[in-house]
Amino acid sequence: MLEGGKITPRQAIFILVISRLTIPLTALPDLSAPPANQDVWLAGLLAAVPTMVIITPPLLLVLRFPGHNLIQCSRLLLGRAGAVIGLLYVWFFLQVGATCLRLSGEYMTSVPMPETPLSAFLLFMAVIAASAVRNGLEVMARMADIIFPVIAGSIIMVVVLVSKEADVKALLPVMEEGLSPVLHGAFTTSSRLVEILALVMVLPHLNMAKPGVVWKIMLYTVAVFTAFFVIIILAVIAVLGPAQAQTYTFPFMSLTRLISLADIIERIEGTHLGIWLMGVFIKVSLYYYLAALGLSQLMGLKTYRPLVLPVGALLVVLSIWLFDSLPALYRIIQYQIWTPYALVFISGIPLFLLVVAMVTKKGVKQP
Amino acid sequence: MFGKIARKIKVYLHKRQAESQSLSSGSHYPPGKPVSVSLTANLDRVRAVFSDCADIVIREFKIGIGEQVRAFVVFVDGMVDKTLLHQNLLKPLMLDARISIPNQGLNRQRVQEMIRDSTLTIADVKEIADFDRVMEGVLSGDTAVFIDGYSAALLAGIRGWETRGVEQPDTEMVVRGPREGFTETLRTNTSLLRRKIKNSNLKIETMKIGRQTRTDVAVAYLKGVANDKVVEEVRRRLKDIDIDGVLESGYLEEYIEDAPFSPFATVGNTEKPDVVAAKLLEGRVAILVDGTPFVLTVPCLFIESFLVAEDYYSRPYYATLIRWIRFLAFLLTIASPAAYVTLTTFHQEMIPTPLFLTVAAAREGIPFPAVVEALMMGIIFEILREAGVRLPRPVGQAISIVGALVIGEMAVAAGLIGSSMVIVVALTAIAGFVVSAQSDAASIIRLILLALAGAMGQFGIMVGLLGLLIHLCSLRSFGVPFFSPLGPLTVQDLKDVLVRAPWWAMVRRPRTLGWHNPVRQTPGQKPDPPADAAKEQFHE
Amino acid sequence: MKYPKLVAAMVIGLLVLVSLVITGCWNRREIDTLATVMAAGIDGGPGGRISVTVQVAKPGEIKPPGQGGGGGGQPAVAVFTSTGATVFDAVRNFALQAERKLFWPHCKALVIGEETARAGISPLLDFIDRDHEPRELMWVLIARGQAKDIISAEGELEKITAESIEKLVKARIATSKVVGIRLYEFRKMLGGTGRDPFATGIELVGAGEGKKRLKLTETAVFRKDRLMGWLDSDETRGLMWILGEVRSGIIVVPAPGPAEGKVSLEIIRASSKLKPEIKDGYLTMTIEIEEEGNLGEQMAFGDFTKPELWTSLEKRKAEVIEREIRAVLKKAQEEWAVDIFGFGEAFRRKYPREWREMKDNWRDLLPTVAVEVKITAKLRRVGLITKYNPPK
Repeated sequence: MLEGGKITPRQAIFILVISRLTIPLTALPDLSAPPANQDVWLAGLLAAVPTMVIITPPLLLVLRFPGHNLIQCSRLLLGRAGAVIGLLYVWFFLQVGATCLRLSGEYMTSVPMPETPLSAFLLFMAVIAASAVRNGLEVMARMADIIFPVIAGSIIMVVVLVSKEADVKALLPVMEEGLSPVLHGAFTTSSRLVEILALVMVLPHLNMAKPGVVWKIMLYTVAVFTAFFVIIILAVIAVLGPAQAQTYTFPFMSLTRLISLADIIERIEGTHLGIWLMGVFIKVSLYYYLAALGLSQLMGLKTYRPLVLPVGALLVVLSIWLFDSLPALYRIIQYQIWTPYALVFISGIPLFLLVVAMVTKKGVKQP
Repeated sequence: MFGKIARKIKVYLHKRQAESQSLSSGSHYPPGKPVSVSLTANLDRVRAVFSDCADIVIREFKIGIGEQVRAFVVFVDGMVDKTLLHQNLLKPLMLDARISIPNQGLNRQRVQEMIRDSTLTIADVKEIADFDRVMEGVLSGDTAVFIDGYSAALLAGIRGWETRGVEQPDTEMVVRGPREGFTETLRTNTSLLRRKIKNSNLKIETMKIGRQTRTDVAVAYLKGVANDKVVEEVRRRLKDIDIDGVLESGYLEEYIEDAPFSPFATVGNTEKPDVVAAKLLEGRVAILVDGTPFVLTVPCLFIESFLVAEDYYSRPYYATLIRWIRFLAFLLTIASPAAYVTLTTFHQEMIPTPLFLTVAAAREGIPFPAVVEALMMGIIFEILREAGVRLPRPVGQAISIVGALVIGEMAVAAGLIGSSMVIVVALTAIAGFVVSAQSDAASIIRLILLALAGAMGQFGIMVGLLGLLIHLCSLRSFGVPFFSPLGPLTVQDLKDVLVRAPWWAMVRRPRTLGWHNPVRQTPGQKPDPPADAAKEQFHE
Repeated sequence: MKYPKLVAAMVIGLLVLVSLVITGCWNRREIDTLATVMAAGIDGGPGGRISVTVQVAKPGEIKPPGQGGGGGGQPAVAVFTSTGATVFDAVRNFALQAERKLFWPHCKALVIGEETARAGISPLLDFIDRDHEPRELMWVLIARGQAKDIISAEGELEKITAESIEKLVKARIATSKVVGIRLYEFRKMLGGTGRDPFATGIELVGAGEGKKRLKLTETAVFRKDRLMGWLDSDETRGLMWILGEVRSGIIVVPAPGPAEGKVSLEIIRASSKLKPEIKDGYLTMTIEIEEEGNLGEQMAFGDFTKPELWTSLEKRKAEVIEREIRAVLKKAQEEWAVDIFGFGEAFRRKYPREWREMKDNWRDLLPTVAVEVKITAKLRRVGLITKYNPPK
């Protein structure tokens, strides 16, 4: 219930996978990233390898300082300068949270309820996320325990139901443009795993925060996520066609709308709306929590709870202010902008801190 | 937010309680004035205490022949088994004592001993010197014997009053399984439990709660199975209660529950001894209250509402199927009006076309918006139900006729209510009875979801469900997460949640409760039918 | 202390909710304020204007509430026509004449007039694809003549014409002589490389006494998004053979051996494989078709279960199939140079590197592709009678 709450490795995996899966469930920007043809699934599959590479610096860094999270590490290492880095991370978490919050509102106003003002959705979502954040990480982790099976089951159900429409030949030829665009795509896809930062932030709350367990969590997260990601992409490409798939705003939703079995199992996009809202709720709450937690640690507060409301207000304001329109939002999450930007936070800064730690010989050395 | 306020209120209540502790005597009696040596003084005191109490009987008499000792008995008329009183108390004292007590050199102290040890043919006789405790005993149905020159009274436990017999409880009917239910008498109830679990590890601790009512409350648990911390926590919370009277276990429930403002009860209750026994065996603690057949069990999990005793007595497949039906029914009862409103006013695109046209035809010309229609029907249903429950049975039938004919048939025929709405409301109501343990929480959730659905459509429902999930996941019952084993997920425990595994497969107790004594049976007891060769023998 | 605050918070929350329910008119629309579009037709109008015709269901006439009849005389649908500068504009202009708001998700069929289709169809589809209400599962049909006439036509068995259209399209498997294309499939064909779209043709035919009836007749073939021409029934089935879409149908062959008359062979299952090959700069496409069928009817006397007659039946069947395939190839591939078969895609899949050079002048290359057809046609069963003896 309190910040002292513990989460189990399985809950951590569930939270991270749900959080990572939300964007592929709607925007799926990877479709138009290179190789931008029927090989995207291959890029998604291969992305597991670069992912494991880019997540190494933050993990190594945090494992050097047991009981400390990323922001505490940077303060330990750099003092006041570390606080600036911490502030950068808080900004980053806020931005990720605000992006997802906005995306949830945009989805609602684009698909089922176009006449309702965007701010109504943002407010409702923020309030419900604030309530989760107030209840703490443990409650969010328990919700993930319930939500993950629902999301996983629904994805599989949708894919099975739509498989009637699938044209496997659409996946051919494999590697039409050769290997290099696929590798490029794998790299850009891997840079979307911002969730590593969530893990290194909540590490002190983890049951059995042994290095072996932490690596295993990351391994499982990447494996489970990759499996679902590849399934989603395969279904989207096989049903909608590689060229057409890119033109959809919400490919997986459009896919769900194509389900029509026996005239009765049809029009089930409500399923998609349900799982997407649950997923985005977990993601928004997670980054909301991280921002509040990071900020409270920078301010030296004992608990993050007084910050829940201000951070929430900031989140709503940012989500409205950061993006003009849906295309503007999509432009930012496209790989051209997102990949370098996210990589600085995922690998760049942690690598720098790690080097500092090694040079100053601070922290516990990991074998 | 609510949780925090609730905690503050709790603290505040605690403080107030501590202040008032000095005014009243809490659960523990401070030693009061002792019984006087003088019989007259005692008599006066008893008369003073029980002035204007018409049901108190005070009978004075003398013991022995020759040098007689004066004595009197006090008891509450109607709470004492008169036959026992006459045969085993008054007769020995007034008649037999003449023979058994030698009348020479009558040492007063010896008379007490004689009477206590060899005259009263009653099993439960206590010697109590504290006057207040004697009075308390009398009020609980004991008979007090005051003897002249004796600074203590004898309390004879010959309680006997009109009670309801052990009957099948109306609230929890079973087709297969024990039909007995708890009664209003605490002793009967504890004996029902003891008869199920013949083990000295079944501990039953009693205490008295209620400034005025002095109600007997018993805490039962299975030592070595129940978590000691939970037992201690139950004791602590019960001891902290300072209340005027306890007329039903519901009073206590509100004082000891973890989430007083939650619509969900975090304390379970049942009327069936076999259910309580099963819960004790899983490591829970039972709280029995005198005067009510409803026994509280803690910790209580959300999922318990979906598990019925009969699941464990019938075959696993059917039990599993029915369990899923219950999950479905609960979902239907909380969400179907909301879903109907959403589908017909926000997301008409999600209804298959033939169904859409039918629903549209049924709604053609209905004057109210669907939300209002659903709210109206919901309220009418609650009224009908309440009227049906309170009225005597024969009148109840009239209610159902009025309800079914007038509200259902005629409202549709008159075009006030769409026929599909009537179906939805009926479904909601019937599904609500399936999971009766949660029916009150379900009514509230249904209303909230309906309002949210009316405002925001499916988004509203999702927000409502997520809020519900947050709430459920944040609740605890005596330290155990209320929503376990689903959230947090305990995969091992799902064998008794998503399915009802055969008994021989449920080797371990639920992890969330009985984790420190997990194994409850020898593993690998799956029945192994004899091989073919052995089978032949049966046919010989 | 805190208690009143809590109560206040609850009351405020309740008030907010209630006010949302009462006033929240954002997206709330009662079902009886909607005009459910069952089918829509798009025609070109004078001066580049777009004319949209919709068929709206009248739920009260379809299933009258209660038992008291009511329906009967009144038609179950209403038809509206509106014009505008763009499709969306025309659709919005319905508000000027239809009393209720048009509601598109239940639209079953999109009919496009022949003239308009010749001018290019993709600009017309954008609104349907982009707007969240219409579904991509609707059938795309090209009207012979005006789409408006099709939409205004009355169904014979179904009360709603759109249902008639949908049922007709779904019944195509019985003959395999017409195609059924859903909007997303059309879009996929339109957007794919090395592929041209086709769609179902629909027309009104006379049914005596001045009545007209809907009939699916031919298949509209597009070059990019412009209507090129029509395939007749046999050519359509040829196309279906190539695509492997034939599910059932009847192949009529002359009776083998000495007997005279005709034999109907029922198709049970069929599949096809496209095998492209590039050899010395020449493009070859091998179409391998495997078909299985039953002897369904013989309007001729004799015992065709004899091995030699059986084989000759199979051979004749294969000839018919090849004839149908050749017919469509001649028209589409050679005359019009449209790739409704997905030959280009097949080449791209097998020869991605060569395709990069081919794709720009694929239209010129297509007629030069040498097509080889390999057919394995089998007969399996004979039904309940093995032979038909002549009357003595």
